[in-house]
Amino acid sequence: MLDKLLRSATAARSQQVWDEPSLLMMDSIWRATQYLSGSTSNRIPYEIVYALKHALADWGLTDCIITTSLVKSSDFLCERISQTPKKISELLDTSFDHDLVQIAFPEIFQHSPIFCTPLYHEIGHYVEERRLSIKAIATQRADDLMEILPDRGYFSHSLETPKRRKIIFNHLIEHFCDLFSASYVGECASFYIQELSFYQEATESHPSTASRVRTIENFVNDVSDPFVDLLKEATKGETGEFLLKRRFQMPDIEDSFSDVRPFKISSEAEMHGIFPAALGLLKKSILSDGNTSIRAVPDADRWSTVVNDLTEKSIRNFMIEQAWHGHMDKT
Amino acid sequence: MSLFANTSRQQSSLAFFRLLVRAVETKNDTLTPEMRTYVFRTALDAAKFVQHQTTHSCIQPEAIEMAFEIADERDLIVDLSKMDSPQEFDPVIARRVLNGLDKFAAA
Repeated sequence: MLDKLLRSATAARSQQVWDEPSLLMMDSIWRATQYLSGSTSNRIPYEIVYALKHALADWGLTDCIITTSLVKSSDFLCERISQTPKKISELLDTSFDHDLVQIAFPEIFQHSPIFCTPLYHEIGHYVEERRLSIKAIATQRADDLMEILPDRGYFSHSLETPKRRKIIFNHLIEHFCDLFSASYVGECASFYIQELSFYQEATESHPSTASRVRTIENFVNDVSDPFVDLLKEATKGETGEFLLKRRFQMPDIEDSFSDVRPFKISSEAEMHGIFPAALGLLKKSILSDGNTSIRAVPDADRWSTVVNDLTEKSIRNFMIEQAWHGHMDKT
Repeated sequence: MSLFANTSRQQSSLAFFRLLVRAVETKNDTLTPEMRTYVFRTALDAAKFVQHQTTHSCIQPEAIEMAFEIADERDLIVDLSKMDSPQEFDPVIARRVLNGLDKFAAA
């Protein structure tokens, strides 16, 4: 592609002109290699990847290939490999059928799907990179946003305007990704923010923990909030429907999990909803101080493993059932 | 991007577009007519988007990226929105676009 671009702009061969795209492309290749090598068959967390692919499809993104990388830190990451404008690809006769999505998460959570729900937030960043709905309102409604952003006290009018615009967008996008996550996994979205970032004040890159949690709770509980309404409005689809909406249903897993049996998931909404349901059951078991809901497993040290395993198996059974029906539908 | 931390990743979605603008700015007249039209159209759409004359769904993503980054350059927006043909996206205006993008990047 670089070669074709070079031929298209022959006078722009100076090293300075080529630095930026060349570095971008080299960086992309290195990172693609890292994530592809992490996607070996015995290391892919198929269940969470399956759930994320369905979430992407809800937003019209059905051309995605998700690759994974396991990291030895507490970071959850999601990056997009291709940043080449589609029009430039077309003009250079170099088009791609699929878009590579790279997710990374802590290796110790490889088989702990309920601890991997921060990936929903990260996938939200990818959705925004593809749709640019939030960047669009940050461009056209910057003044309105100054009035309703949760941490508006942080945005000084004395800040240079481009700087202020950048910070406003940083906050907007984090709130959007929080709500994207909450639309699939409900209170898991706020639980992990509180667990991992405690009570952080607003910074240039992130809103305060308190405002993030409050915004998520307003969204999940349908509490009137002009800021949440604005984010919903930004995601209005072609049919006029808001794409940002509750997309999960909490299944009643307690009877099944108490007997150490997977739950029979009957819909995509339940598949996403099993994450907050499982987290809720785990918290309840721990807080019940021995009077556990997981009756068949008296050893409290194993509850986390058991609940994660059962969640994983419940989703895997749903995947197999869906694949079976999908095959039957095609025949 | 990370849930809780800054990323070291550079904003790069405009990198290829900037390359083409730089080619115009260096008085390169060997850009194909299609490429010139593409650069002109993207810049025009970006300016019109800032002025609320077009909507999100009607323009290329890179035009939204560009609009976001040059939205505070009011004079530039006005001049871009007045362009009628690819020839009007000349080296002078290309330089101004690059200055606007650089100013945003440095903020």
